[in-house]
Amino acid sequence: MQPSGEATQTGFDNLEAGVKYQLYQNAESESIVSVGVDWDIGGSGSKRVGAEPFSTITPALFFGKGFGDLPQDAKYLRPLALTGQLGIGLPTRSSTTTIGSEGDVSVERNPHTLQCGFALEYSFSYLQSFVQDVGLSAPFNRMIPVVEVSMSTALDRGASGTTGTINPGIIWSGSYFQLAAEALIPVNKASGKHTGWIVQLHFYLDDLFPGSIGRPIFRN
Amino acid sequence: MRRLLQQLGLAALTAALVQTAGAHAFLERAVPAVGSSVRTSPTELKLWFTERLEPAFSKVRVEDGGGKQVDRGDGRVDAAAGVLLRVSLPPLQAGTYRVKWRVLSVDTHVSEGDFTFDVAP
Repeated sequence: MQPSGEATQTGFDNLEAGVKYQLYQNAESESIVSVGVDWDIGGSGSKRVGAEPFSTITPALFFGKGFGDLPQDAKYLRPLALTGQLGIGLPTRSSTTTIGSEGDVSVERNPHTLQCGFALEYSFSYLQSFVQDVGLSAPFNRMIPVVEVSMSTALDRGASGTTGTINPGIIWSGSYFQLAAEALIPVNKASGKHTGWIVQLHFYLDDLFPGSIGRPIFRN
Repeated sequence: MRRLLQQLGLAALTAALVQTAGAHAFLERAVPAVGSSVRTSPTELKLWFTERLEPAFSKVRVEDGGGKQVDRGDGRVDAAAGVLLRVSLPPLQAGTYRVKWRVLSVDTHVSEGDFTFDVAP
């Protein structure tokens, strides 16, 4: 991470753990609804990159909708998919007290927050395999242009306002991992002044380790 | 030195675990191509996947516009090319045909999909 005008900082963010339960799934309409709880484990990451010293529990509702059920006239829109989540962030500490190098004390309030996010993506892989072979070759046939929106609204403890970013980017999804690069555009002044960017590497553990940690706990 | 040993250990562990890795089989390409229009009736449908398939649990079916199966029912994974699923077709009249496939890659991941192709009048 390199804040504008400051030195580069490196380190891990807080470790996150979560559980999710699928409430509804319909293959025909390509739709799914789940509920879950995310646990941001306070103090497990590096303060240098902004990892909080306290934990935050976030119960949330998740949804996903693919558009493969659109009529033939709109077939080129079928590779679109919309996913999103709505949750409440519940910090385990109401405030954080920091003592500076000169003994000055600052208290930061940690409000409950409304977390809202969604992503709209267009899968070239779906286009090639399910709709129309337009002749895309590697690596383009595995690319997914995406726009993510992530918003957070403070609800109490003297805090107010909404912060968030709009993140346009591109994902390359392989058989064992996914690589993504996105710009982070602040939605308002409270969210930041400059556009940032982020690169993510996700591994598909169920494909890499199908016989061990990738094996389902419950299987029909 | 300790860090180097840790990295080597992690690399060895990863290599050992990845030896058993496998992935979902995605449709790589098809003949007739996905969404294509062909002038003459094809005698065979061929589907190439990104992973080797388990022959006993990999199926393909071709239906006409009314949902009736029109292929010859001899769908099979090619013995020489384990990523190729093929089925014979009788002479097809002009119209839209839907291909439905469901495959099991050799590491036991199931994937399925469908697409259409047209036989032009």
